[in-house]
Amino acid sequence: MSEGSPVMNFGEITLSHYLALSSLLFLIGLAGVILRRSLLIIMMSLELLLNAANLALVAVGRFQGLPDPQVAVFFVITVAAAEVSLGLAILVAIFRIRKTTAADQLASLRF
Amino acid sequence: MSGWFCPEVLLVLAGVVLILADSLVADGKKGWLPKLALVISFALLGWTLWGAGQPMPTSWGNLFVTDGLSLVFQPFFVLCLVGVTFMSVRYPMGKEEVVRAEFLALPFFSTAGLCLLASARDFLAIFLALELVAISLYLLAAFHRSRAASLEAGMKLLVMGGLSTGFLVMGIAWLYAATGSTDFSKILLDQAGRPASLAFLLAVGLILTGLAFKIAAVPFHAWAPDVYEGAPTPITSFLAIASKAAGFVLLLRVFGLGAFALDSVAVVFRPVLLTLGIATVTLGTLAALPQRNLKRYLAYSGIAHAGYMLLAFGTLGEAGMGTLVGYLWVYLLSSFPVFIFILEMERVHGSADLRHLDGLGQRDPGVALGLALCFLSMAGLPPLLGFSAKLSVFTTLWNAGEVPGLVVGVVMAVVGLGFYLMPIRAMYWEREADSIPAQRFPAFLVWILLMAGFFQLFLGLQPRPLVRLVERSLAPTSSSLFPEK
Repeated sequence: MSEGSPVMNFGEITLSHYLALSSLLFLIGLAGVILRRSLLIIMMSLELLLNAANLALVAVGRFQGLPDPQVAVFFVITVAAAEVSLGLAILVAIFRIRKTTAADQLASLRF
Repeated sequence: MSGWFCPEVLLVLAGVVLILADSLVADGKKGWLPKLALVISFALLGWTLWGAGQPMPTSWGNLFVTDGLSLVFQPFFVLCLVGVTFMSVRYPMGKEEVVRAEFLALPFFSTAGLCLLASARDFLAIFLALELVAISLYLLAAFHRSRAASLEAGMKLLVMGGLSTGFLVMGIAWLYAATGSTDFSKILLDQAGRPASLAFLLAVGLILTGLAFKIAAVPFHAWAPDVYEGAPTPITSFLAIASKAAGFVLLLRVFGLGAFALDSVAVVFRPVLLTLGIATVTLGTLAALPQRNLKRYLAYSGIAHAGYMLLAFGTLGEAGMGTLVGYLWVYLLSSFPVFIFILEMERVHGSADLRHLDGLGQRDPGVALGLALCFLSMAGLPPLLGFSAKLSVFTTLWNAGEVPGLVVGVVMAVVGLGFYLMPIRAMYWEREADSIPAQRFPAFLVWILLMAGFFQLFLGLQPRPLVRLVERSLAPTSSSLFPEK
């Protein structure tokens, strides 16, 4: 593209862009797990962590021409689904007893 | 052919059989299911021990390898399974006198994952095996659905486990980016003899963080006391021993023998591991002092033990790895009897509070003696078993020239002595509580604890069997655990 083009040129999107984005998502997920109060949002943040990793895996697989990371993503998705369904089941059971999903209400185990 | 009869396959089959048996048998006749589970687990232990003497194929598409380490730790994990099943038989779960089949079957699946972990040689295999262990454990920790504490423990374990999975998967993604493979030997080939790239070090750091959650190393330890206290006691013992050991076996596999056994990694991560070890020993010992609940007390004791193991392993030498293997077996032999005692204490007294120990020395001398020997062994008092373990940690640190780690370790061992003497003081020097429960401890508990105490003494004086075990575990590709006949 020429110098004075009205369309902004960000250059080619490379692997490092994807890795940077995935690291950002990872940090957002990490902050969510640590800072948020609602167990539902904590679980969403956990999903975000795993999906950040998935994005990195897919990007690496695409740019390096490897099939393995793409396959790994399917394993990660499966495991994440199992984990979150179990988490929701426990959450429902907690809600039946406590009538809340706030993480700071879970303080019966404390020294 | 024999690959089909390896412990992992049999463990999964046994779990499936238990669940099927539960759904096929009429409701009133399920009393024998726990006993069936116990018999199966004992049979599997025998099979694993026998199998450890046989040469096994290195198969399954290079995802798994059978070497000394896996042959030494498969019996370890199956032994944990036997203990958990034994405790589950005795675990009271509300109004239902008989435990549910899932509660018996899930530890089998978890143990299958643990055995796979012990022989994994590819990070994808490690990830899947670790999740097989972890997801079964989330469910088990939350199994006592009518108790809020149990649900809370399950939730905390799930969030922390999920976090550790996140770190591990991210580490795997960066590993692909840095080396293009997750196979241990390919990574070693790729990285040997050149300085580690930043991406590779990041991957190692992320994977190490994921594992640090599993072994409850400071600063990733906060979940352990809460989860241990809330989870059903059989599951607490499994978490405290088998799950922690799994983290250490992985550290051994990854940093000691496998993918990251590189000088370029050791330069950066040796100080990291040693610092983690120092922090873990210090916090585990100091935070244990004010505890009043025996399960929380053992959680902090476990954190302190993990610290010693990290210190020994952090030297990243052959000696450190051997010490770690030995220490794990010592940890199993000295803590499991205490967990069995806690379960019986909960049956009799209704809680695991330390004050229920008051006057136990007069009331039940056999139980008290066995328990005291286990606690003293954990404290590392000569001539008991724990002393040899601690001594070998300190010699490893001394030979590696790690003076700060050595000093902190010795100081904390002395402080820890006071903390392990606390229950012993309660048992022998405290007056008995006013209200003595009508129920007594069952007779088999006396025998189990006395036998455990005898083991502490016997193996402490004659550690030859353990030493041989350690030697076998680090032999590069030994085909047999036992010496040839």
